[in-house]
Amino acid sequence: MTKPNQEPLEAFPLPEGAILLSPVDQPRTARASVIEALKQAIKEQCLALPIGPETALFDPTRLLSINQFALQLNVAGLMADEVSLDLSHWREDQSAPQLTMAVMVDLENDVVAVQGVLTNEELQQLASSQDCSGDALTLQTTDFKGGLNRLLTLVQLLEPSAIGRDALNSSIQRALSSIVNVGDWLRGQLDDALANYGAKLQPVTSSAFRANSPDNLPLQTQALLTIPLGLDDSNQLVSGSATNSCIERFRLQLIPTGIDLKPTALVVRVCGEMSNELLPDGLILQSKQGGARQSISSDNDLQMEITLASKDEMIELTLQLGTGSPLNLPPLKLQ
Amino acid sequence: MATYSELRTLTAKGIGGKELPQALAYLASEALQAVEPSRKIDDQLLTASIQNEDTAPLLCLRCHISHPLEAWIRTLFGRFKDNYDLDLTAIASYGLDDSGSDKLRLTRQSAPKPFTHSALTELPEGMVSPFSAEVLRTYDRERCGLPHWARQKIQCHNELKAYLRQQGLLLISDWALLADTSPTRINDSWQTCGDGAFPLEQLLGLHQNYKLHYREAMNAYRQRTGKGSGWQPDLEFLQALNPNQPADQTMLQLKAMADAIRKLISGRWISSSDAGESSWDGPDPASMALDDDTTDGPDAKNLREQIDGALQRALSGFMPAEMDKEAKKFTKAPERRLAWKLYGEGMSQREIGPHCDHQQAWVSKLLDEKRRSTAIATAAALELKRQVVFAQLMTSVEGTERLLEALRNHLLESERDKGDAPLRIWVHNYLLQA
Repeated sequence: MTKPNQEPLEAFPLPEGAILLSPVDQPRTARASVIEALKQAIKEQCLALPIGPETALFDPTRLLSINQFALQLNVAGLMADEVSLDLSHWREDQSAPQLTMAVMVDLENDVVAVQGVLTNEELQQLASSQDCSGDALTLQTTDFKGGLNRLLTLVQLLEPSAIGRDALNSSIQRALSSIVNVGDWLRGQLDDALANYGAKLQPVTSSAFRANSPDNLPLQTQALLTIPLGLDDSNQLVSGSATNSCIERFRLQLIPTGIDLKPTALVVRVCGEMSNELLPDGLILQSKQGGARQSISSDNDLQMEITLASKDEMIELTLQLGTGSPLNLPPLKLQ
Repeated sequence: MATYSELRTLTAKGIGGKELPQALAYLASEALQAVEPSRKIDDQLLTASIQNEDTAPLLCLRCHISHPLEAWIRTLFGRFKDNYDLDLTAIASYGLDDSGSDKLRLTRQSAPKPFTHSALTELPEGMVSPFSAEVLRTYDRERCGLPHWARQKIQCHNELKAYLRQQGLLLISDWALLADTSPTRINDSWQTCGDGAFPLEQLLGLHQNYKLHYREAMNAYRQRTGKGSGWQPDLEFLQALNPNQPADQTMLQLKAMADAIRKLISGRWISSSDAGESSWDGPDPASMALDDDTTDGPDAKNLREQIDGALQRALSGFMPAEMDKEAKKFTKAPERRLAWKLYGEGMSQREIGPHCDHQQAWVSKLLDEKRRSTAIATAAALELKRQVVFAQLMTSVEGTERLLEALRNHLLESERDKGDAPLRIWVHNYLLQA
């Protein structure tokens, strides 16, 4: 817990990168303050970044277009610790914002501070563990990172097509509703549902088919699918590209084994990114196949492994760290 | 008691106190000279000033409020002076400008009148001088005690706000702070920093009501006055929050919550000067564009040349205008030129500050390294994007941001020492020619 100071703070430091607006006779709305601040910053940096629509100064929910990127403005008071994100634009694909930004506004001091920006994908990941059925989503202001610099660099350097406009959870829902046929991996085909987790099908060398394989793969390995995993700053389990900024990283390996093109079992293994790296303690790997369940947790282990025989029933796999948000893979079919 | 007879004020020698004989005489006549300050005595003096049209009891109150104002000013100065260029005299001039005169000017053009309560009521709306007149003019004893009111008023002093804003500090009223705070933070702050005087559940309920009523009240205030600042909760507002208790009790609870939040945030505050100069271990931009890990081959050398070239062109495109703007201030503020010179020679911000007789926060603000380096790196990245090898990196958010960080790193840090960093070299050469 933060160590408290003895005395209340009389004044507060101006946030880094805060934009000071000139006082005006008529008070501005929060949205008008934000748009004016953006224009001021763009002008000061001599950037050619068109902003629109300007007529929406009194409509706080309207998306803003900045250099052809669809941007959502989420405004809170300068000292706010939480920000409310309007979900009305997030219900349909191609209508959802590409970028969503938290902006802190002090109407008394005419100060605007951009806390940070999340891409559509980043917001999807944050929202995946929250209830998004209501009209708004409440996030910590600190969930948004990079300040105004991040917005300006992304909209300058990326093509608009580089960031999707997926509706909330649509990609995850699509992934969860589709069943993955493990047999496709033997033909080098990787399902989109798993690609969303950053999964990669790796070439399996001929040595893997021999006993005592130096790759430590089981005998009769037919394919090797690896999903990068990591623990983020909040100790939450993340996958795919989100692991790049994680200090603690490890892998989930899905290894069908069998003869010819017929998998007879699936080895599910969690191991360190490098050999001899311990897994985080308290990591739980669970499987459900029909009525059969297996669960294994790590405690000073280099790897955890579950083997599932080929049956009619789908395989459901979950990975979780303690009481954190679980990572649920789409159902797998071996037969 | 000294607080009712000693006026804390700004003199030619700084903040000092003066015993006011008129105040002393009045206290003696009312047998109040030895009493401890209290709400009851404040009310007694206020009533006397209203009923008797006498300057003396009001003078006692002016002395009394000067003490918490001085304490507030000194605490503010003491907390921030090491990191911000604050002038105690300048701050004090906003709140301790009462000379103890028994005359009050209602407008600049009007003749001075006796400093009585009725003269206060004739003052025009808006901040007046001396500040004590403003405090007493707006004071409503049903809402809170006088020392508390004095602190509330100085927190929303517009000219003091403008001064502090220029120095990099913001005065945020308790009202805005409470409105911006979530129930989670009320909970955290009360548990960690609260004085325990009130049950948490009661405060959470009060806070929830406050947020609902505040939005409406602020909108009405803006429409009525055309202003975005200066709102204070009136009796009606306080009573609406909790009709089951006196308004001043509600005010006390709101203040307690605000104080707890301030203490919590105070504990988390990191000086902007500490955050300004972190170095980081970013990747080499050339190696990011190569497929393999070989960073010494001809491909890597070629890439480095392209990167260096792009950064130099970006520097040349961006920095001249920046430095021309800076140079306009050098005549009046030669320490600014010195700071840039020392930066160009490789000195750290922490080292530059004392040479220029300023705090590190001043140096950090002057150099604005983060903004400038990001703008330069972005311009360089835009040029490099025309190369296929870099364009491939910039098809994803992650690749783009990693490249940008690498370019910024390359711009600000050198492999050998700070003196070789491209941005510093550029500044050094600019000043040699200027």
